[in-house]
Formats: sequence, structure tokens, C-alpha cells
Amino acid sequence: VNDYLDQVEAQLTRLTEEGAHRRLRARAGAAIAGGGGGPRPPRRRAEFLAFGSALAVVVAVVAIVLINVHSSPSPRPVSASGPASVHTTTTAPSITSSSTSGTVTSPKAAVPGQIGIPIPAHSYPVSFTAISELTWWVLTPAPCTFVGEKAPCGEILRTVDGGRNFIGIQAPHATLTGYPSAPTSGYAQIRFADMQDGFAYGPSLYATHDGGSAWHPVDVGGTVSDLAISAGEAYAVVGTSSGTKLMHSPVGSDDWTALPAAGDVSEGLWVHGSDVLVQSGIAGTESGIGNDLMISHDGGASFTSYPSPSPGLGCEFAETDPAVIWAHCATGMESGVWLSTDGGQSFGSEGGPGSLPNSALFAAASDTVAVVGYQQLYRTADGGATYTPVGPADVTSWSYLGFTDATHGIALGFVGGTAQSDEQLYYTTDGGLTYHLVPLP
Amino acid sequence: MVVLSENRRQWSDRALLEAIAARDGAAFAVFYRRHLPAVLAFLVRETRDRETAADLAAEVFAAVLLAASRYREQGESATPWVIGIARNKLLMSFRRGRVEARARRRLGFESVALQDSDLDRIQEMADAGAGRLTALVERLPEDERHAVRSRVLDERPYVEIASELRCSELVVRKRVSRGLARMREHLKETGSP
Repeated sequence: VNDYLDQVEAQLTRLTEEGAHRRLRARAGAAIAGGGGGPRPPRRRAEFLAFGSALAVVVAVVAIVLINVHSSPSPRPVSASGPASVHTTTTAPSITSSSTSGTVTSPKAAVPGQIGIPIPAHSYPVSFTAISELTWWVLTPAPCTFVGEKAPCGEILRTVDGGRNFIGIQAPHATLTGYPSAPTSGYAQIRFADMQDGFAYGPSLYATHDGGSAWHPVDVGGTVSDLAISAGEAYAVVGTSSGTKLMHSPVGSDDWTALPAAGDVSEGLWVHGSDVLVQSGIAGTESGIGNDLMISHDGGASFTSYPSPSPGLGCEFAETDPAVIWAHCATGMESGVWLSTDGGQSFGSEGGPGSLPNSALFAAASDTVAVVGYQQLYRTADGGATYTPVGPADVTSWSYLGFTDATHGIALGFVGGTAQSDEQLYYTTDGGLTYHLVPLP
Repeated sequence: MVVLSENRRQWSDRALLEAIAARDGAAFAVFYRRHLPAVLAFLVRETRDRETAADLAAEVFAAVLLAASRYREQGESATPWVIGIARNKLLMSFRRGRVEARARRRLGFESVALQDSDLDRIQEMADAGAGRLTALVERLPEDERHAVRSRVLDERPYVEIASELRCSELVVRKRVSRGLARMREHLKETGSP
């Protein structure tokens, strides 16, 4: 009797002989989704496949909101989510440290005036979202407290003072999905648009409109692999049996509708203001990655397609200015960084610090500053011309990078192992140059 | 069980991947068996869960099939490439909260049930892969051993290794290349490609 490994071998061997992989390549080459299109320069040779791309990584982990409106006449669009109407102070974050490995003061009890639920012992971050440099939400595993819940469950920690104090708030009464499980329901990520409206997703979608006191499931007709928020709208990449589509809803309601102009999309979702960026998908497939970068300047009503810097391979994008778009894309065994200064119509040549794995993380702080890396972070301050190593030495690998503005950012890093419980939250206040450990309760 | 061609067992990884891209099923079987122990060793070590490791291994080799035509030889065995795919699949699974199955879905791969009786063989193969790899690495000269371990097993970037060793990336690449070539030669000598 053939065992599992033999059956896998036999089936893949048969698929090889049937040419299943060749048919897919042909489809990928033919698929061009939506949009008006622009002049297409000769495409560079695809070097590798996109499954292991870092595309889903950063955008899928966090939605960070651009605030700091007052400090710049034109708010810098670096966030993956966030209503432009939210204003915050520019008070320096409470996190202080004298070194890259320093820590903030120990978390105290809940902020006066706010009522929270008990915070679980030994919290560690599995998802993070922010609407300003001071107001964050951190998702952490927690004991199940409601009848019918299937472990593991989650709880959300909220801070409004940059990590000095946290309160606990309810998470959806559903399973906190996490590796190595293969869930059909539950959630793994959180996003908040403001103090009232938030979402939990992956693969199911849940919403709260009262700051987390009550959550309810939302049926969007498929599984949600990515979600980002901007200008009062939530955008989600929804996989269905017929493909993957982009949907949106006002953050304060659950009125989800498809954005058909985006066509089949994959996972490279980035939003800011009314700009929506997403990578095209392969028609008829749930998660195939296409050749184009789709850009909308009207909240997703219409899209223009431009050649992705690494066609057919997964990219993540960051628009730091309407004209400036960073891209971090898989290239093969490795990945690279590209920069467009004409709104995505064209990208410069591949750059980066060299020898980046596909799964490297990337986050742009400004038109010239970005951080990329996996086990070692590298920072550029000159638009990608040069990179220098940054980050605490005790972090063995990173699982998230994101900036709320040109100077403030968050990173999740593994210390001492790669289990979820080894994840630590780091904060940067100097554009990714140094990182300070933020202890959770 | 696929019947292997003896001839193909002598082929290089590059030759096998070219043949796989050209729909040579026997070449895939050889490649699968050559790299499965190392992939399982890596995944079992990282997940500490044999079922998950087996599930991910199937996804890794589905990805290999899809990517075969785009393999870019770097003068060494395809081991780092395959382990790189495995690491990516592992991380994607971690971040997405479920075991990656994208490549299998794209190929139309039908789900294969994992039985309790499979777990022992998976563990044995992982142990063999880990043991064989470790033994081979340990036999390398110190400079090559460190380079191979850092690059192949830990998948650290060349630039990082070079910085640690205070040498150029080119030197590290050469050490990795020489180390892997030495390991392959030894595998051939012992008849276990």
C-alpha cells in the first residue's frame, strides 16, 4: 500500500507528465487583468515563481494608519489603512530608550477612564494595527472564556499612549487561527479604522463598530486574505471558488460590495486616501499572481494597469507619494526592491542590499527611506542606492515591518525561536534606524 | 510508487529540473526522492509536527514543479533553492495562519489523506535527511562547513555571512559552492544521491 509520501510523489509525477505546470504558465502569460494600460517596456525575464513571495506578508499582517496630518501640508501616504479624518497629537511617543535594545517603561494598568477586560499573562503579539503613532491594537492569544469557543482564542490589547499602558478588549468569539492549523473559519489578523470600527479576518471576516465590545461575523462570500483601510473605506481581497476579487465597504457599516474594475486580483493590497494599489491575479484562479500593478485613484471605481516590476511574481507595494511607489518583489530564490517615481508607470532597475530571500519584509517610511530584510534588516536613506544593516542583534528573524509616518514604525521580531510566543514588538522613532522593545503585559 | 530511471539518478539537479519543465515525470520522481529527506528534515525541525511537515512538503514539491523552468543554477546543488522554497512556504503558512496550499491548488492536486502509519516513515525520513545532511556538513572543512550551514541550513543572506566572517560575498559563495560540490561528490560515492 502506498503511503502518503508515495502518493504525493505519484500524483506530482502524473501532473508533471500531464504538463499541468506548463498550462499554468501559458495562462499566466496570457492573463492581463482590467485597467486602461499604459506603455509597456520590455518585460524582464521571470526568474522564479511567486508562491513564496513576500507579497502577502507585510500587508497581510498589519494595517497602519497615516496620521500626523498637521505636520505636513500634504499627508505622506505611507499607511496601509486609516481615515484621513483622524488627527493625533505630535507628542513624541512615550517610548524612550538609550539603545537599540532598550525597552520602554513597564506597562501599567489600564489608562485611567478606560475600562478593559483582564489582560492575559505572558502576552505576545500575533497581529498589530495602528491609527497613529500612539494608538495601537495588538492581538495576542488568550484563554477562551465563552462557551462554544474553540481554542486558541484571542484578546486585543489597546494602547493610546504609544505602548506605555494597555487595556484588554474583546476579540471575536472565534478561533484565533494560527500556524500550523489549516482553518476554515476564524481570524488571524486585526485592523482598526478608528476607535470604534475594527475588523478581524483570515479566513473569516468579523467586524466591530463599538470599539471591540461586540464583534459579529460578516459574510462576504469567500475567505478574506488581506484587508486594508483608508479614508473611511475598508478594502478586502476575497477568495472565492471562481477567483479572487477586491471588495470594499464603509468602515462604519457592513455593506461590502465588489470592485469589478480591479478584475482578478492577488494579494498586493495597499491603500491610502482614494488610491488603491493591488497586484493583478490570474483569471479564474483563487490566488494566482498576475503580471500587472493595478492602480486606482478613485477608491477602486476604476483602475489603470501597469507592468509589475517582477511580472507573475508576488510583490508588495508602498505608495509614499502619489508619484513614488516602492515595490518589493520575489525574483526567484531571492527578492529585490524597485522604485517608481512616475506613479507606477515604470520602475527603475532592481535594487536592494542583495541576497534577500523571497520572504523578506519591506516597509517604506518615505520617498527615500525604506527598510528591508528577514534575519537582518537593511535600511536605505537614499532611495535604494545604498543599504546599511540595522536592528537589534538578538532578533533572529522578523515577521512584520510597518511605518505610521516617516519616523515612527513597528516591527515584530522573533527572539530565541520561531514560535509565535517568541515574537516581540519593537518600535522605531527614527525612521527604522533603531528599534526599541515594547514589553507587553 | 514511480519506477525510477537509473540513468536519471545520475543527472544533476539542473538537468532534472530542465526535464521536469519538459514534462518528464521520472525526472520529477528522482528529484523528489533526492530532496525529500532534506525538506522533511527542515520542516519537521521547524514545525515540530510531522503532519504539518508532510503537508508542507507536498506543497514544496508542487512549487518545485511549477518553478522548474525558472530554476537559476548557481553552480551548486538545488538544495538551497528547495530549502528556500520550504522556508518560504513555512513562513507564508505562519503568517497566513494556515498551511500553504497555493501551488497544489494551482496544479489541481488532489488531497492525499495522511494516516497514522505514515508518521513513522516521515519521521524516519526526516531523521535520515537531518542525519545525512548533518553528517555531510560535519565532514566539510571548517570554512566550508560554516558557510554551508549558514547559507543552506539557516538560509542567511550571503552579505550577512560575509559581514560576519569579514570576507567578501564572493568568498562565501565559493565556500558554499565548494562545500555543496564536496557533499554531492560524497553522496555519489556512497550511492545515495
